[in-house]
Amino acid sequence: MRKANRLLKYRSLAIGGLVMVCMIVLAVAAPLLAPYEPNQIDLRARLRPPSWESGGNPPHILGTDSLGRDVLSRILFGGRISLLIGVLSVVGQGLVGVVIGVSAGYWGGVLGATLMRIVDMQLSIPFLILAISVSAAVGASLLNVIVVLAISGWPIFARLARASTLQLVNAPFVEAARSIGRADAGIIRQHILPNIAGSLLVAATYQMAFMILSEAALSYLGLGVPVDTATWGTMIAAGRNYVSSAWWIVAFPGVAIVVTVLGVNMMGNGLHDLLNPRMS
Amino acid sequence: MVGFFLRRIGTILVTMFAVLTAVFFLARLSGDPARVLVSADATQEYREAFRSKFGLDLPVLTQYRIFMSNVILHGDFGDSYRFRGAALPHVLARAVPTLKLALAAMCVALLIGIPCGLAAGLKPNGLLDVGVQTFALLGQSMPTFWLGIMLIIVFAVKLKWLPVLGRGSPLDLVLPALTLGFSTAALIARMLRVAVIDIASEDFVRTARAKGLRESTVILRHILRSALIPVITIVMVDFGFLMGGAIVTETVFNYPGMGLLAIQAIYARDFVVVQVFVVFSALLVTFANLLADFLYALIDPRVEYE
Repeated sequence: MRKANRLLKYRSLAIGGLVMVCMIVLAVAAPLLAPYEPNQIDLRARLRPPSWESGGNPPHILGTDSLGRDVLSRILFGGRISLLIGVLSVVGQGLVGVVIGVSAGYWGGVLGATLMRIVDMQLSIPFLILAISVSAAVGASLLNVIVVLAISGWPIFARLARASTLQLVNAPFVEAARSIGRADAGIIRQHILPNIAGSLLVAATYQMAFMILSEAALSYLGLGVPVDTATWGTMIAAGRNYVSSAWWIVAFPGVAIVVTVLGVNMMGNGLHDLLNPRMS
Repeated sequence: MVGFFLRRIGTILVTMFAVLTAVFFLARLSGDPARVLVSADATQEYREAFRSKFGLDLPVLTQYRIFMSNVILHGDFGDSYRFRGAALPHVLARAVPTLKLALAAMCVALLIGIPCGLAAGLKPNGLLDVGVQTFALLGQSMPTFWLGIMLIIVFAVKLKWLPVLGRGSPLDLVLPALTLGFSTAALIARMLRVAVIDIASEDFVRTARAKGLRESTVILRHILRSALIPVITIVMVDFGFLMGGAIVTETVFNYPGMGLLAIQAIYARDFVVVQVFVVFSALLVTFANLLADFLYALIDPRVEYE
């Protein structure tokens, strides 16, 4: 039974990891794999259904959109942007959140209390509402989306890093390091960070799934990357007006999002179980 | 406990002050609204008149002082740039449909989530459990807006069971509520499943069975009742997520709630309306969290707040 459970654990991690690797390979190799240029307009081939449906045009495997652009090619290129935004925004918010959270947990005091008040304040504004307001204020561009998501997401890391640090500050090995005169920076680098890295990694994985979803939502609302850039969110937004005639424009980019986010979440579940053996 | 809640309310007041400040400066980042709202070929005098009418020609700190004192003393956020009159009543009027939608979504989430979570937790690793776990994972991984559009394609366009556009009947609420409630349903199912598995092996459950109580009584009275406690907290905390999701859902279905109003206000740079919306959402979320703590203490006598 126990062995079966362990296998199950690795299975979730393995499947999630495999999906992620596939998605990254597809995104990196997009220029080689895509049958068309993502922005190549062909007005004679507008709204062609997927190749297996009647009226489908074989070279356009997943059909074309209202400007005759190839849906498959746009999904492949769109994946690059979604993954890039997912990874970079999590790295950004992770760095900010961990620095602030560890400082607040390690030194505490007025600084720590103030920082945590800011965290509370920001968490009282629903994530998407905050992201929408900030991105409406700064305007649409790739870099801005990454910054907006990082600004909106850091409190989660700050809260987690602070809580995990607090559990360690008075641990015997930290006391020992302090009593032999090690500097705070050294203690944090050598004793605190390695011990909180596991839970931060799990949080980062879940957060990346959430960031990919949020990027898609922002792009869908026209507040993410510029609307003519191919991303999964902008593709769905562009297909919204053709739901009664061309379902494939909306359906396939959404499938790409679901598969990717599902993979990331499974990886998160696997990592969580692996790093917290007692919990499962 | 009274002390705990009084202190919590104190924190909420400080938080709301900070939210108001943040919202004020955020809106100023987006540039001069006169540029967007006044037509490009208007005269310079008209532009100046517009700016002075809304106090946009004053120094920022003066604007901030006026804004804060008006909000705190009179509940006045200022006039909407787009509509006539104060922005607050516009948002409040649209809050009712949004709350209706959120409530319907929560009902959907509970109606799907509780039976799924209970069934899965009672027979872990069974076929049903695998199905529920898959559903839970899917709910976590599906973009709300995409689900909404897919539901429209399947139920309104292909099957023609429901109208594509609202016609003012209660049926209009079905697809939006399903869209908005789906991920919460998955969350509830996942959390309840874990809680049921934990509680099913507790002594008091074995005692209840040993007393010869009917299985349905054991499940409903003893297991489900204790397992629902963590779920209540989740439901309340998830309320904020629901408010964010409401923007997207309302946009997909063209549902006339405050989320749609806010997104239209953003497109139109009507930042007074956006401010009211953000502050109002923050207030709702904060009170939902407070209510969660309160309910928690009410239901579970072991919980004590200092």
